[in-house]
Amino acid sequence: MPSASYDVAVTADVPRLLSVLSQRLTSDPYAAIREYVSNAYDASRGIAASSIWIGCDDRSITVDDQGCGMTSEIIKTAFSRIGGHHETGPGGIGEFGLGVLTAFMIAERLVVETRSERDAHGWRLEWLRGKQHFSLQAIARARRGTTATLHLAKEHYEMAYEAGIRDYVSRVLGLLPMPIYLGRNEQPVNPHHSWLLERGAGGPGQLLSSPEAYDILRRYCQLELIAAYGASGANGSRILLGIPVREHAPLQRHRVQFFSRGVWVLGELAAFFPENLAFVVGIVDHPGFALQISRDNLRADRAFGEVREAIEGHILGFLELLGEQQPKLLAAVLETHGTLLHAHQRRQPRLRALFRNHHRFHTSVGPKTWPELSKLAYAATAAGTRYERLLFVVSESGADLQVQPVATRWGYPVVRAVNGDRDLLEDLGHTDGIQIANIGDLIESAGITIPEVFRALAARLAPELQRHRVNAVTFFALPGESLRPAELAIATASPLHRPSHETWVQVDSLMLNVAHPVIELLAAVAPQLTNEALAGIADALFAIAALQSPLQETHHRVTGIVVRQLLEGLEQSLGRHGPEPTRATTAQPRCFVALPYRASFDPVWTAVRSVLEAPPYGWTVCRADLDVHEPSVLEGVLHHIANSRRFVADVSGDSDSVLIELGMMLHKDAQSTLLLADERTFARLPTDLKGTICMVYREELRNDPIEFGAWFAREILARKHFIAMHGGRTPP
Amino acid sequence: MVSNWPGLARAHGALMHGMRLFHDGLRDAAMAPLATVLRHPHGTPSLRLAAAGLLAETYRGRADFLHAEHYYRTALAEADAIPAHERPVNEWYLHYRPRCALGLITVLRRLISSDHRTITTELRVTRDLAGHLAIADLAWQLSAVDGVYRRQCGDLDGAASLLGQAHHGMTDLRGFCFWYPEHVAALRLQVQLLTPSGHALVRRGARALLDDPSVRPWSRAVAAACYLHLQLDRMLERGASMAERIAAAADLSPDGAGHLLETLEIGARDERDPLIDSEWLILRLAWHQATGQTGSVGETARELLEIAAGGPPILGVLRACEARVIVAQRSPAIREDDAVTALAQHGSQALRELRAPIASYGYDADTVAAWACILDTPGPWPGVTGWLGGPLSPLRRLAWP
Repeated sequence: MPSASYDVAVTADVPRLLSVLSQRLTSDPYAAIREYVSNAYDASRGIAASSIWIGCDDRSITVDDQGCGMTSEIIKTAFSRIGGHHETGPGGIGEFGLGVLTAFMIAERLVVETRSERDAHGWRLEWLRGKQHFSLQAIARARRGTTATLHLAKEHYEMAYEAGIRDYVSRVLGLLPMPIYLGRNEQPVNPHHSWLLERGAGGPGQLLSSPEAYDILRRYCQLELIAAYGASGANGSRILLGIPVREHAPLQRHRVQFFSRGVWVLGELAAFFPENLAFVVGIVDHPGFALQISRDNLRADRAFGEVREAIEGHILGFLELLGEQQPKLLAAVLETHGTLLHAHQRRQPRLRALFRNHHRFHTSVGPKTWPELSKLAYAATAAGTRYERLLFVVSESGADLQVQPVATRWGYPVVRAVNGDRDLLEDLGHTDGIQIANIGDLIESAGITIPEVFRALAARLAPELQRHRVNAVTFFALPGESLRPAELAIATASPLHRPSHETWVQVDSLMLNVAHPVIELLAAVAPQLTNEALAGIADALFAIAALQSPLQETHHRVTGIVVRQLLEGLEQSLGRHGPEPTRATTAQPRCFVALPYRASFDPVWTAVRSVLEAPPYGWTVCRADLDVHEPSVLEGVLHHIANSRRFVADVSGDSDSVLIELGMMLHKDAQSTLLLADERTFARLPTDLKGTICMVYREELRNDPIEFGAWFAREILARKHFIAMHGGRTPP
Repeated sequence: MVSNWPGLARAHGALMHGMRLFHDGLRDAAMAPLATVLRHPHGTPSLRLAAAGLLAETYRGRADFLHAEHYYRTALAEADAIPAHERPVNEWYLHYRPRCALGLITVLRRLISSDHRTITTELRVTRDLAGHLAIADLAWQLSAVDGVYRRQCGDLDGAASLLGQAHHGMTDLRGFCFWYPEHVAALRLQVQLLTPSGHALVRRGARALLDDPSVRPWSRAVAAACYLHLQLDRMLERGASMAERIAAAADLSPDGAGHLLETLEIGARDERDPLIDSEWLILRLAWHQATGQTGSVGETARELLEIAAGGPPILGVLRACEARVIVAQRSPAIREDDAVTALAQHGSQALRELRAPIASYGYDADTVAAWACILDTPGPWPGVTGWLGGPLSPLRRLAWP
C-alpha cells in the first residue's frame, strides 16, 4: 500500500478567482461538468473504445474516464498552477487553466482519484473550497483513468439532478467525439457524438442529405431547415450550414453555434454572417477556439477571424450547389429569403446569376423565371410612351395591387413585385433591354373620364368608408364591358394586409366600376340616400373589397350575395319592398346537403336525396343552390342550416363553398353532420375530421347514382344518431 | 400643413387628458378621451399614434389581445403616415413607434398568431430604429421580446440567453419603455423552469425576486408560481408520502409551499391578470390534489373556465390540460366533475381553432395530438409523466406570456 502524502500549495489567488467564476453561475451553472468532461476526453483520446461516465447522488456529481490518468507531477502542474497552461497534446480541448476551479462554483470539496499507466499506484487529490492548497495522497487503485467527484455545497444540492445534467450534457457536449454515459443508462447522452468529426462533410463543401445533419442543426439552431451544407478545412475546422424553411428574425445575434472539437463554446454572435445572409444558420467547430473564450475576446481571436472571413464564400457556394443540384429548392429559398438576398445581390455578382436563373416571379400567367418572363415582354404604351419590349408590374406596397384584373382583361401579363422583386426586374430588364412599367401607367393611359354624378357618390361614400380606413374612392370602366359581366369593385390593399392564407385583407382604397348596375343605381339615387343607408352600403362595398381573391368561388358568391343585399337595401331605402320569402320551420325533419356545384356530383345529390326522402326516413332534403328563397345565397344557406336538423356535406372536389357550409353545419351540430369523402380526399383530411362522422366512398361510385344510393342507404344505418330524427319514420 | 389650429388644440387637449388619466392608473376612464382623439377631424397622425398606442396598452392590460392588436396596428399605420423627414425630430414617433411595435409583437405572440412576418419585420424595423434613437433600454427590450418569442418557437437556449442579457443590460438603467427588469427576470425564470438544466437556477432566481421588496406583484407572483411548480414536480418525482406532502403544503416558511401559495394568491388578487389568476387556481388545485383534498375541484374548474373564456385561447388549452392531468391523479373510480369536462371541452375547441397557428410555431402534429388526447379522453395518457415534463412542458412554452 503506497504511503506518500503531500500538501500542495496553489500559486493563484483562489478566493478572487472563485469570485470571478461565481458570476458565471447564472449563465452556465454546469460549467464544471463541461470542464471535467473535456479533461476526461483529453485523457482518453487515442485509447480504443473510450467513453466517459457521469453520475450523481443527492449531494455529489462524479465524472469518470478510463483514460491515461495523471502522475503526481501532472496533478501538481495542472491543479496548482491555476491560470497557467498544461499542454494536453495535439487535438486536446482542456488546458487546465481556470477550468479546474469551476468545480468550486458549486462544490465545497473536490476529490480526484487517478492512476496513470506509468505508475504502479494511484493518487487521491482532496481540495476544499477557498483553500490555497490541496492534499495529494498515494492510494491503491487498480483501474487506469481518473474519477473526479464534486461534493456539492449545501446551497447547490439541487444541481445533482440527473435530468438537468442530461439536458446540459446533450447540448453542450452533444458533439464531443466520444460517448458519454449518465447514471445507469446504456444509451449515450450524446448520440451524435461521432458525426461531426468522423462522418460529417469533408472537403471544400457539399450539400448534406443525412437526417443526422438536419437533426444536429435543428438541435442547435432550433429552426426547421430546407437545406443543409457541410465543409471542412485543412486545419480541422468544420462548418455546417442550414437554410430555414421560413423567415426568422436574425436581429442582433446570428444563429451560429461555436464548438471546439465538439464541445460547445458559445452561441449566437452579433454580425457573424454578412447582414443580408443572416437568415442562414450554422455550426462552426474549430480546434483553435478556447473553451474559456468570451464574446468580447472572440472578435480579436485569430481562429474566429479566419472562419468569419470564409463564411460568405461558404454560403454562396451552398446556394450555387443548390442551383446546380436542386434548382427547385433554390427557387424556394429565393422566394422565402428573397428580401434579404435581394439586398445582398447588389454587391455580390455570384448571387445575381442565381436570381437570374432560378428566382420565380409571380405573374398573372403563373410563376416564371427571368428567361421565361423576358420572352413575354410585349409592345405597349404606358404613360404616353411607346415601348417595344415592356413588362407591367404591380407592387405590393403601391396603390395598384389589385388593378391586375384590369390589365389581365386587356390581355397583358402582369408581374407582381414583392420582396424587392421590382428592383430585381429593373436590374435584369436593364441588362436585357426590357422596360418595366407600373400597371397604373396603363390605366392612366386609357384616359377614362368619370361623369360628375359618380363624383357626387364618391363624396358621400368617402366618410363612411373612412371608418374602415379606406381612404380613397375612385371609379373605372373597362372597354367592352357591356359584353361581359362587370366587376363591381376593385380594392387596393394596404401594406399591412394579412398573409395570403387568411381570407381578409386590409383595404385602403376602392375602385368602383361605373358600368356595374349597382354603381349606376347608387349614383342615380345618391342624393336621396340617408346616412344610415350610406353606412350600410359602405359596409357592403368594404366587405366585397376586403375578401381576398385567391378564394375565387367564395369571392364570387359573396360578391353576389352582397350585391343582392345592396339592391335590396337600396329598394327598401327608397320605399320599395319585395315579397317576404317563405320560411321553413324547425319542426320539419329537414336535412341540408352541401355539394360542389358540378355536374360530376349530381349523382351524389340524386342518391342522397332518393334515400333520405324515401321511406323509412321521409325527410325534406335541400341544398343551397336549388332551394334558395332568401334575398341572398348566404342568407339562404344560414336559413337552411338554422332550420335543418341533419346535415350532409361532400368535401370531395376542393370546393370552398362546401367547406364554408360545412363549418356552419359543424358549428350548429357536429353530431348530426355526416361527411362524405372520396378516398383521395379522405387521405388529405385533418385527423379530427376522420372520425365517425366521415363516410368514405370509392370515386367511381359518383358515376352511378343507383349504386351510390345503395351504398349510402347501407352505410347510414350504422349512424344511429344521424338517422334517428324525430318526424321521420322509425328506421329499420 | 396645419390649417385649423383651434381644432388641433382640441385634439391635443383630448390626448393630454387621456394620457393623464392613463398614467394615473385610471385606464378605463382614459379610453373615452383617447378614442375621441382617433375620431377627431383635426387630429394628426402623431396624436392618433399616441392615442391608439395607449388604447392598445389598455386593452393589453386587460388581456383583450384582439382589441389590443387592432389598436397597435392602427398606431403603427399612423406612425408610418408621419412624413419620413419629420420622424427623427418627432417625439411622438420616437417614443410610441418602438413601444407599439413591441406591444404588437407581444399581443400577436399571446394570440398565437401565425403572422410571423409582422413579428419578424417589426423586430427588424425596431432594431434599425433603435440605432437612431436615444432610448437607452430599447435594444434590451428588443432582446427580451425576441427572447420570449424564441421560447414560444421552441428555442429555450436562445430565449434564456437573450432574456439573461436583456435583464443584465437593463439592471442599471432607470426609465423603461416597455418591460421592467424584474419582469424580464420573471420571464427568464419561466424559461429556466422549462429546461431540466435550468431547474437548478429556479430556486435562487425566485428567491431573488421574492426577497426584493421593490419587485411588483406580477413578477413576485410569477416567481412564486415557478418555485411552486418546481417543488411540486420534485415532490411527485421522488414519490413523497402523503404525510410529507401535507407537511410541505402547510409549510409557511419563506421557501414553503404554503407561503408561496399565499404570495401567488396576493399577486392574483392585485393584478387580475388571467395568467396569474389561473396559475394560482391551478397550483392550488394541484397542491390540494397532491395532499388528498379533493373538495374544491368543481368550483376551481368553473372559475378556470370563466377565466379561460375571457383570456387568450391558448391559456384555455393549457389550463384545461393541466386541470385534467391533476384530476387524473385521483382514483379512476371517481367520476370526473362536469365542470372539469366542460373546461376540457372548451380547451379542446380552442385547440382545434389554434391547430394551424400552433404548427407555425414549430410544434409537430404528435405534440398537438398529445394535448388533444388529454382534452378529449379521460386519463391515463401515454407519455404524461411528472408535472414539468411530458406534453405539458411544450404547452407551457407556448402559452406562458
